[in-house]
Amino acid sequence: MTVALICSAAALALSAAVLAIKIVVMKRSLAELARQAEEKLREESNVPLSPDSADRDLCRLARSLSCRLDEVISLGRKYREGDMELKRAIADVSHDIRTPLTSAAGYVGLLKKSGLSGKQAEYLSVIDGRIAAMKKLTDELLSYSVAASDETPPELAETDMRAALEDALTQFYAAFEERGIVPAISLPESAVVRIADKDMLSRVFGNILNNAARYSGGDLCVTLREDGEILFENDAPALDEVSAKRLFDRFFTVENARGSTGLGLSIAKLFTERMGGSIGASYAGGRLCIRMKI
Amino acid sequence: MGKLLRADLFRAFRYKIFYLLLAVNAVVGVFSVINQLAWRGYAEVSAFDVLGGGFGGGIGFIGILNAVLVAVFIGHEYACGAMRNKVMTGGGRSKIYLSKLAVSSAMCAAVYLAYHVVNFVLGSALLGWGAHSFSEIVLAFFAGLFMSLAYCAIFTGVSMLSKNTVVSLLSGVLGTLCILLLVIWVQGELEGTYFFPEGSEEGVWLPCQWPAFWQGLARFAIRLVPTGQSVLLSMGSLSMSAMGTLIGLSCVWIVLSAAGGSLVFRKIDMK
Amino acid sequence: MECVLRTYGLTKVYKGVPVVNGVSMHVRRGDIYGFVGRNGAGKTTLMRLVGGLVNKSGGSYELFGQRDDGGKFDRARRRTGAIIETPSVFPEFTAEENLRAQCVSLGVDGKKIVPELLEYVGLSGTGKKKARNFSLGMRQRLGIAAALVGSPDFLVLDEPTNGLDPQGIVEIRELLIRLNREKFITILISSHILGELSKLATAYGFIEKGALIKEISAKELDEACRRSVRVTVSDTEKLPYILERGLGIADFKILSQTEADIYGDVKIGELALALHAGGEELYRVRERDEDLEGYFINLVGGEK
Repeated sequence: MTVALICSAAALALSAAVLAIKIVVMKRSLAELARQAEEKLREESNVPLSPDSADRDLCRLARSLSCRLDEVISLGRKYREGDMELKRAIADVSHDIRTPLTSAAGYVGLLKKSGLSGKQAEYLSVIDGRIAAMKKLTDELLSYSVAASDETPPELAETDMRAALEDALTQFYAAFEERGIVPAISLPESAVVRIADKDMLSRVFGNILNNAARYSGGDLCVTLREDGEILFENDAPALDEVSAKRLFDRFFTVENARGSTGLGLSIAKLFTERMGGSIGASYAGGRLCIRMKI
Repeated sequence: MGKLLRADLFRAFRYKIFYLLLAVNAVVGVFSVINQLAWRGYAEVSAFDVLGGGFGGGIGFIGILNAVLVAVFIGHEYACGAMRNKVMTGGGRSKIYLSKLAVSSAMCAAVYLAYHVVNFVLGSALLGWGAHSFSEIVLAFFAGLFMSLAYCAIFTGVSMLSKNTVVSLLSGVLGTLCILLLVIWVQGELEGTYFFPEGSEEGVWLPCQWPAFWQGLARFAIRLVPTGQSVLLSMGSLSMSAMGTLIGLSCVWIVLSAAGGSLVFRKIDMK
Repeated sequence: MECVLRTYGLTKVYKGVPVVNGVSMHVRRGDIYGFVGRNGAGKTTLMRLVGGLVNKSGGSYELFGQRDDGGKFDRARRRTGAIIETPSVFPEFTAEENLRAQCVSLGVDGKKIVPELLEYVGLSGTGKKKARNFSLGMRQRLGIAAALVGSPDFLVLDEPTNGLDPQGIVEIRELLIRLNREKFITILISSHILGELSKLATAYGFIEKGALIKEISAKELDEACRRSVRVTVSDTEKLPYILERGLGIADFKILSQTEADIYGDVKIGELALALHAGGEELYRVRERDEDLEGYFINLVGGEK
């Protein structure tokens, strides 16, 4: 009788222990599954999710989740590849367009010198103007797509931001003068050194200043702070808050400006971010402020 | 760790030597029972003596079975490079060792049980238990089980660290035999000898001449070493507390292998 | 581009000899990194170090950004698969059983992945054949399949084409390229058969006597490999004079009475004019690219 009691007590204790173990393992596996899923997506890893527990339902969950995550990762990769391919294709096409354009411009030049009647000369100058415009557009498109599809890493070195900014401003001095803009420049006393690529930096400044020179309402304020942040402020009557946020989008132009593809600022953003910096625009009280930091 | 255990169990269930040894030990059990039956006319025999036989006192049988089982199981994994795979995919050296220890222990326990299940069924039916109490039988059984697990722990350590089937097999089998001979000799010395002085017919019993310290050490060593334990248990004359001590000492080996063995395993270089 | 494997001065000393001596290498995600070195240069030992089979004597390394002494390192190891020296297969199991055993060991569900992998490596027709009866090529492929069971992001392969026939070598090469392109698996592959590596690798690491002497991308290697122009002329006797005095070219090698190799950038037009002025006839001009072997021998020879 006592033997039977002992046996049944032992059996009960054993099954309780087994169940307790099972529950603990399952709970740990669930937590583990959550962590693995987050890591898998973040690292774009091929490794499937694998819980410690052998419970069938838990394993089915792990399998299904793994498959979905694999799909997401693969879609992400396909998108990036497709995007890269597109940019390369645009670069190639721009290159291809340039050749006949250059040739056409050459012949137009020849034609100009070959003595034309009044009407013919008039038509020719229109053609000349259009070809020049197309060349400019193609150049900008090529410039953007090459910059976007170029995968070489920036040559990062210690660069003096102050000197680079000064150089850029000097280059655009003439352009500003033409429009009657007198830039108000505020630079710190000492050099501000950050890690950046010199060529990329000058292109970024160039594009921003170019944009300012073309579209500013009348003035320009450039401020370089000690912590490396640069502010470009100007009057922008034609702008509004929504447009300001979209300034760096590809092909976005305000008031359909003639002769501009709207890629200048996109290139600036591309390069800034590639150097590890950030760039953004805000609009308040009729003034546009472009903020850039490396 | 769960995955490692499952992987080792997967191999264990497909391990032919394991099943072979199970059968062998079961058959030995049957023969032991029959053997004891033959003695029935001459002396007081019971299933308890069969139990004693299961400790392999005569040839250190259990030790040899365990050595073969563990050495080939672990050595084969080294030979095929599966051990290498487990390390390279981040199994964790300690976990790999402990998983092997657990599964090997399970297999050795099963082999041990094969003999004793036969005895419990056949032996108790045909021979009965004689004068021995229930707790005595149970304690003897567990003492033997832990001795078997101690053997397993030692051989697991040797196999995992030697990385070679032949080396671990030979050291296991030969080591057990040598220690067995040593133990028997030492025991004989400790018992004392009969000394026949010149011209006299009567023998004089001479107790052991060794200094007390060495005698104590020798006795402790015999209790500690699993082979020594098997000799003691097969004689069947141990008190309950003595058997309890044996279980405790076996646990020392198991802990040593689990903690120390896994630590050393972490430090060794593998091919 | 993040690095899958980075070593910092990794060292392994056997009996006082540094078999791996302060190696600092970078394997980037998505690369097929060709590890080039002579026999005994330390390639296999380095792979054993990275795989965790042997303990290092000095330095450290990182897998997927995790340091080798950190707590999360086993998880980073889980994303790695490796074949070092010989593929790890159980000879008494069939191909399918081998993969199933590996599945169990890694906690992967085998039902779908085992037949897929067998198909991928081309072993789906082996049925009940035990692995001990496989040819070397089949065993290599099974080894690769086993390494792929865990869906790794990084494969470490130690001379996988060793002992294979030409057909086998091509099959393995195509398999590896597919793995790199389709599954985005980064591969570290060592070999002393440079010709094979040059068809495969996107980055190279050159190791000699345990030290990493150079790391270079395939593109840079292409540019750095010395270009040469092989000219067939009427008589090479006057050639040195014409080249050195007339063109200022000192880097050339006379091969025979009529042939010579001229290294560096050669302006063919100028060369032809100079030869003609010197009374030589220029019969043939062939461009030759130095291959990987030449580059390696140059590199290693320079170290002596």
